[in-house]
Amino acid sequence: MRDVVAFILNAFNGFVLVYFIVLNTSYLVLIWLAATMTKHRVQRDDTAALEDILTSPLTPSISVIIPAWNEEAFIVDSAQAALRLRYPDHEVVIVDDGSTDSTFERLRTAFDLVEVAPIDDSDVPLRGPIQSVHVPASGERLTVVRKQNAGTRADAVNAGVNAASKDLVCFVDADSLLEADALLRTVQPFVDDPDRIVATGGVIRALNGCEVIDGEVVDARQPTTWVARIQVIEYLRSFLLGRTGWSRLGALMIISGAFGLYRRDIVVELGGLDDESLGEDFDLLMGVHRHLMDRGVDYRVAYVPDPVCWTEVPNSVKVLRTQRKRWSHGLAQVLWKYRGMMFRPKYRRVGSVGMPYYVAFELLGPVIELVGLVVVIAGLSFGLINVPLALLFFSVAILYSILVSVASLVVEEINFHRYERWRDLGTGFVVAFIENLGFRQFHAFWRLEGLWAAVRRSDAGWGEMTRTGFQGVGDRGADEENDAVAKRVEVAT
Amino acid sequence: MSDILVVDDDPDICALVSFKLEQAGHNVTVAHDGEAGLEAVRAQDWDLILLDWMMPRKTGPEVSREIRTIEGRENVPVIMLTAKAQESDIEIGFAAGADDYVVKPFSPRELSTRVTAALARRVG
Amino acid sequence: MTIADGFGIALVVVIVAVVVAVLVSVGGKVVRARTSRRRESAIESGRRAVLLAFDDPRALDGLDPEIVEAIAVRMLSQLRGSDRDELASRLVDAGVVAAARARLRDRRPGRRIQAADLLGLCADDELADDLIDELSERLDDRDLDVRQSAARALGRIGDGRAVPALVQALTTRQISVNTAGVALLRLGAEDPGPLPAHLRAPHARVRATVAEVLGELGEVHVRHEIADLLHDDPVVWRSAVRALGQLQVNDVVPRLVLELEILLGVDEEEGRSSAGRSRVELDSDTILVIEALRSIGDPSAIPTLESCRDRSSRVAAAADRAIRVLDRRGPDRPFTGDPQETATVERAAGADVVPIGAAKGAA
Repeated sequence: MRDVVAFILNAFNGFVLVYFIVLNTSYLVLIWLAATMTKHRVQRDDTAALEDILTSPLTPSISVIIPAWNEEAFIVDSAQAALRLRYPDHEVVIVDDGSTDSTFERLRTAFDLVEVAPIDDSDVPLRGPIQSVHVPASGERLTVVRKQNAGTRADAVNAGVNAASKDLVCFVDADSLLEADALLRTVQPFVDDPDRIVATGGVIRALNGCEVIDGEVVDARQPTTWVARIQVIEYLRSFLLGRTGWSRLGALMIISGAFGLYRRDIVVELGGLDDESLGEDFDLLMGVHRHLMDRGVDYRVAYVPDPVCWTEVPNSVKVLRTQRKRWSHGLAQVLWKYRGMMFRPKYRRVGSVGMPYYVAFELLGPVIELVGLVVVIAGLSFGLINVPLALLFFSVAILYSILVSVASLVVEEINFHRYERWRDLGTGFVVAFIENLGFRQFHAFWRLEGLWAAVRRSDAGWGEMTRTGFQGVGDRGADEENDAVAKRVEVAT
Repeated sequence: MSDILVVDDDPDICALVSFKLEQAGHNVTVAHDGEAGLEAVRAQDWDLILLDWMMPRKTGPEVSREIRTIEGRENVPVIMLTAKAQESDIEIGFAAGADDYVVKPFSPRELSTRVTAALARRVG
Repeated sequence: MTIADGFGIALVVVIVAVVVAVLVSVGGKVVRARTSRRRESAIESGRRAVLLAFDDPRALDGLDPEIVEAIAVRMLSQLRGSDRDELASRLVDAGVVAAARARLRDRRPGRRIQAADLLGLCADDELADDLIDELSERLDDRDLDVRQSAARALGRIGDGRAVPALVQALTTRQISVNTAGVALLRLGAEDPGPLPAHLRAPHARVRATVAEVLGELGEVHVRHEIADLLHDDPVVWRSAVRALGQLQVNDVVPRLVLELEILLGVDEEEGRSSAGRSRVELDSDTILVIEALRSIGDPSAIPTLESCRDRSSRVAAAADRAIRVLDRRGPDRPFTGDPQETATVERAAGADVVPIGAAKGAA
């Protein structure tokens, strides 16, 4: 009997080991793809290409849409920063989503807003009706839309889509900082291949610790807290390299809600963002994929690896946990919603590679990691597992993950090189260890919590899940400086 | 001999413009972003200001509008020197208080002539 | 070999890999710190020398030609007029251009890119004869960035003989659409002659791009050829409509009005089945035609525009704007300089909102 149990335990451990190796190898492959694609980023100057976009009359126009709910601290700065972006033809649409603070008053004072007739009809249906529309007296291309809060960020973004008058819509968070060339860089795939590109995403990096002067990151630095430092590496690995790799494979499935550029007509055709989704950014791109592949359209989605958007990441474990639970929950929701696309040849690599990968490694990852951990501990305590062997097994698995993190740092250092200091590189190496020996296990637990929440509520129907929304007051405890971050519904790859 | 302030974030443009204007006999000072430009305007009276549009920290029109609110600087000639070439941009530029508008790529000779003309108007 | 041995080997391999990775990134940082500092100071001193070369080409003697090239590219792209020509000819005198021509076939793509950029900015008519072939050859380079730079350079040289090579590169997607468009636009500003023939190119993207370029260039004599593209596929159709709007010639108004009537005749419910357009596309295409009519400014379009008012609010708003322009203002109403006025004019033109005062006035 004891032999049988031991055999099963060892077989399971073998499975976990293989799983780990496949997971980390897949990451190395994605990092490799991203590295070879971006190897000239630092050496080659893209000024001429950006200049062409800037001066070309053929460049599409962009509406930058910034949903804002109680953002009085940031809103004027982010409006000014958005207006200041280098781009030949863009407007800024701020949606004041029923703020209860002085968000609107600050805008009114700063821009000398005058009321104009509201947009009376909507391309995209809204839950919270539009109350009024305002523009600055100076003629600057800003539109401020005030609407009733409907509890979801998606609804505010949709109001912005209705008010937008340009060819493309760019979704941005009010508390994110865009680089001055962010629009020029992210629009580049559109102008290079105008007949096919429908959406592009830009890289998100952690803002914490960076020196910012008047809305501009002048000096990229590692954050001061370990929680945030871990996220710097995570963002490098997943957003910068992971998504670049996926994009190269033709199976990019997520463009972060904090910075994404879409053709407006496609967003409208889809009926806007799904306001019942916890991962509305993931949901939107999946919707685009399904919609266009159903129609057999020849299209492309691209990821722009240049750092374009800096965002404040959670500095406290508590907020980070809330965020990761929600990401995991949103991931489960979206994968369930689009489950019909799995393995169907019609959906090309999204259906055949992307979705199965997300289910196996992102969705079920925490389950397998945690069960593996429990089994090893149980096996050890009952003496069913050979101790030196288990230690070896554990070290190989962890070290391989560390290798993946270090490899991301290498690519960052060689291809992008945003962090100037030696200290920052050193911190990165230390973080690569800490992340995989401790943080990883907590993170798996949070993701499991999110997954569990999704499973539990899936019977109750989709609608109820998001009533609390990211804008729920409870999520934004007043004294947590970084709670604003928790609202960003996004799924980590 | 006039004191001219050039506000532009591109070191090549700054070097070029200062070189050409210095050749024409002017005193040129350079500021590399909008905020630094405003500080220079507050600190000193200038005979003329050359202003880029897309700069870090403050855009040309923002700077221009603020210059017009600074006491004693309401009438400093401001020439916008920018890659923004659309009609509506030019409207915004002038509405922000610019006296003249030059589009990049630019001809230093033409710029020099416009600078001379603006200075002459001011003296006259 | 036991399982433990296998793990042991794996462990060693992974540890070695981690150490190597750490060393690579540290090494990369050291190398970069060295080279970038050196390059920055070289550019700083080179900039002064390039400016002095306006008066004295010998100012460039003894400088690293690659640095001079880099500075020259940046400066020349910001300049036009006699100073630009003067600087370019000084660079030719100083041998910078000859060096760049040799580097067009350099082994390192970075050098080929910079050489192409410089040649595009420096070429005069004499040089152009040789350069067009040399640069056209680079449109087949292995490296995308080299191809793009070569296309840009051909555009700047502005010689019509480069058109077939550019069009060919656009057809085969060797260069990006935007680069090709901007190159043809720059080239066409100097020598538009060879462009109209490509309005009948077999590739739809070429027809669309050439139409827009001719529209931007204001080549009014090809308006009827462009109007014929209104029978073409949707991508070309859109470019043709935009181009006609840019050309602002009244005699194509009936053609555009006809297009508008066709779009209005499409039943909104069955929009897709009858015209292959979804409702959103139908709206945006309708708005495109309305904007073109507004830009041309011929009042004969007003009756058809009025029938757009019962469409979706975006279309109706666009039609209202156009009617107001055609009716009262005309297309070339001068700017009054009043900021309040700018705001309303801008907003009315830019977004789908109507200033409250204006709406009341119209009603």
